[in-house]
Amino acid sequence: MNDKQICESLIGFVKEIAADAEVTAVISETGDKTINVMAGNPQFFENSTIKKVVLTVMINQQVGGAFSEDLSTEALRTLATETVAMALAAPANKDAIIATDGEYMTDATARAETLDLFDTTTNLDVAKMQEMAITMENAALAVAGVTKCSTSRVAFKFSHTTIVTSAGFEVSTSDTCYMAVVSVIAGDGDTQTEHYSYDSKRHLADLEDMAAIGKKAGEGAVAKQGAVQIPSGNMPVVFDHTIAPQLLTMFAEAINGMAVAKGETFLKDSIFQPVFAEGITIVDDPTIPRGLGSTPCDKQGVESEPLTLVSDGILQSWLLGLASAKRLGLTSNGRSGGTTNLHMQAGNTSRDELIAGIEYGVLITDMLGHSSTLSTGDFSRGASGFLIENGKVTTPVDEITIAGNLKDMFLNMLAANDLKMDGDVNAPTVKVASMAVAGS
Amino acid sequence: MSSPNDILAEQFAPLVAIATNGADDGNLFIEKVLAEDVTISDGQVVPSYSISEGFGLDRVVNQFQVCAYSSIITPEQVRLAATELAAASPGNKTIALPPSGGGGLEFYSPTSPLGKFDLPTRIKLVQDIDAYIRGKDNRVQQVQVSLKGSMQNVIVVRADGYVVTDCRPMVALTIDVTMAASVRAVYSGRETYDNIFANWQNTADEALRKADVIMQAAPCPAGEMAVILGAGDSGVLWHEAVGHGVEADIVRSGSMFAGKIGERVAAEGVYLYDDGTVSTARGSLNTDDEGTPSQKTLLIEDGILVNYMKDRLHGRFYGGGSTGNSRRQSYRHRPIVRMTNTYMANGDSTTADIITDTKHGIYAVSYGGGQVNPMTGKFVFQVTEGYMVRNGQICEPVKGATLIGSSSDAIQYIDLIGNDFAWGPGGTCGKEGQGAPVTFGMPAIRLPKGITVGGTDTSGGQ
Repeated sequence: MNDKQICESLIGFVKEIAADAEVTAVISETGDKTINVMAGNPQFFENSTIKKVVLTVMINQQVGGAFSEDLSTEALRTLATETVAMALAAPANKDAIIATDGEYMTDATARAETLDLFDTTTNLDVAKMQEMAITMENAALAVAGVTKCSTSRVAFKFSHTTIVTSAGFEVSTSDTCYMAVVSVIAGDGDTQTEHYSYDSKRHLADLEDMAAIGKKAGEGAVAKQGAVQIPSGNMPVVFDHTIAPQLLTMFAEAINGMAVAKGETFLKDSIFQPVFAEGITIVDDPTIPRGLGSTPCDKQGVESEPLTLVSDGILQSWLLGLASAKRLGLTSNGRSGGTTNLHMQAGNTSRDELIAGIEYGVLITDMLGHSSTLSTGDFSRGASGFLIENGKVTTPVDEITIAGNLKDMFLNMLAANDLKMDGDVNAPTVKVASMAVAGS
Repeated sequence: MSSPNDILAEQFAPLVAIATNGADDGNLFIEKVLAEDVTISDGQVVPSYSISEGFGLDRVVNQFQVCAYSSIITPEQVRLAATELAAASPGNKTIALPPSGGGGLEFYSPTSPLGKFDLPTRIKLVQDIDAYIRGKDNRVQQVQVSLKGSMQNVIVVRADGYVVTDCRPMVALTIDVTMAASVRAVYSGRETYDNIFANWQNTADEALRKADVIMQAAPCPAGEMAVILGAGDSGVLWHEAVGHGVEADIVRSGSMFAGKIGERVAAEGVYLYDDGTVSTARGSLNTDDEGTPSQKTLLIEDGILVNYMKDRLHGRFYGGGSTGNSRRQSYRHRPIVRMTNTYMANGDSTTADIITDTKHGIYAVSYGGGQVNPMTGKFVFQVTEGYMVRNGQICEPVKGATLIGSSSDAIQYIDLIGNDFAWGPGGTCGKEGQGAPVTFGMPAIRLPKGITVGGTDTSGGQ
């Protein structure tokens, strides 16, 4: 049986027990090869193949969910029986919903193929992966001042996913992902500084040169040497383009439709209001060929189209799946799984100009922790980076915390023009007019 | 008559021998996990159930670890993986296995939590807790209650036919309450649901208490001040900021504790342990995931670093053998060095003495999250429950506080250690993308300097 037939037989088993059940069956097969190198020697190599089935059963408004890695016919029958029993025991859930004919995409599989997410041209073996990781490590070690690499890793993943629902939706997608990451240490003992660089692409040919990734990480670690602590105060804070995407991710959480419906986000009353500074535009585009977040539709089957979330500072849309859309009296925009390829558009000023206007402030290149409170927008993170003095980036700084409120930070943000479309969340370097910086 | 272990040994040991031919080490790890969960969020109930099963086959030559994982457990699949592994890392070593036996430990009952309380009973419990919390305080905006139970059955098969098994139950009640901000209270352990059904009010009341404290909290002033870490929850700082740095694999990649065995790393009076043998604790194991029996390991003795946590690979690399700290999230993750239950032992002060002796500082009680760079020891923790201390008195609660510093530096400054040891509720530790259940604990301690307090109030007011 192929995956689609397994899904169909599973739906059949459920229907035999509960004829009026609405069913979603998902089969995924994932493969993952990873090699890690240390000091020129392979440290570990992993090769995995996992296949599992996820079943969701909805009877009236009652829902049960289960998954199994045992795909034998006997196990699938048991899974169907157990999941129906769960749904029948559960109280009604107002978020229980399945895409009906007309709501779901009918050509999702064909559309997925046009996104070019599966690299059929390459098959990486251990030897080749090891060679790539060693090249990356050597390039990092060649940077003067670098002591060692703590990690030099290359990974290759593939996945095949098939979704079938009892309402008639079906999609089969395949994708690949190549990843390289290197973490480099400069200095010794208590003066150690660490920096990492990585790249991740759907096609091996698009992956950044291994030596370039290694060199970048090495230079980053060395640049952090000799960090000082600074006195506490309020000052302008610049977020490097490598770290600014984290702010966008927090924004995406704050406009998640379910968080809005539950009143859990500080932006819940902000639709069509200014939420960012004028000039800032934020777009989520699932149609980018080879994009890490590209998809024809969400897991519910609703088409995901390009969406302008913020236009010239004004909030234009929530991220909606069927359940959150129903709660809010709106229509799903195929974002039940959140954003796809999210980016903030480039501004008009160069990064240097943006920094040149700052008499005293900090440029943040690393943030630790993940502390922000969605309901209030309160933001507080451990951070490190560089001091900005008289418009110039000067000494590295360490062990500071930066704090503020996301609402104010977004409204007082200026974007530079150094946007690079690299991962699934991208932003240019941004400046926030004033934040509380705590140092020594 | 053959026991189930004899049958497994007969079926798989010859395949493990192929996988470990010419290697230093290796074994077959077979796992089956049954898990169930009932969650109520925003009043909506979702039950779920899962069956996860597969094998991980590992081969180690020198320090090169080669692993194959599959969700299909058949001799054919294992044989295929064994052949691939041997080809990927040729070697001419002779495997040296420790003597068989030493197992048979039982730090928790092998009884599965699944089955005793049926789904309607578990649904009713999360609904009752939801109603209890909403009924008790009308400022409550959101409640999420999750009741999880699982049974992990683990089998380790060695090339010499020795088979080790461990049946690991786990239950967890997690309650999130949102008033001004979201707070969490957890009860968890390697046991059945009985204690949760009997005592869930304690966990619910604790969540309500924490939420109430935040409602009254003022913005935390920023700057350098004395930091008092409260007993229990603060153990997360030892786990994150020190524990990871003495995991032998992190040491080998050059952590700040590398090469410091026998040296002073912390103030006098500091004793740090990792102990996988604590009865029914979340982090306990009868045997680790390489089949090594659990043990209690002294890491820091009176401020001197005396040992690392090791798996078998690092037991060979650093000498002294495994400390029983090899763990994997599941069959599809490689075994790495992990903590179990990590704690700092009692000193001779009391929390009251420590507070009385402090002129200006913060008393940190519980934490919303933290992160540490295990290589450099730089850490940051978000304090979800904390109080200002002035002139020997606990004053107003503060919000938005973060603790930031460098652990190798900070733990030298500890000047007072309480005698009020407590365990925190424990959690799931993340490392290399793998989650592992752990707990941590400590008495109250004071650091007069060495930790920066970050907050939203930089006015400099006292």
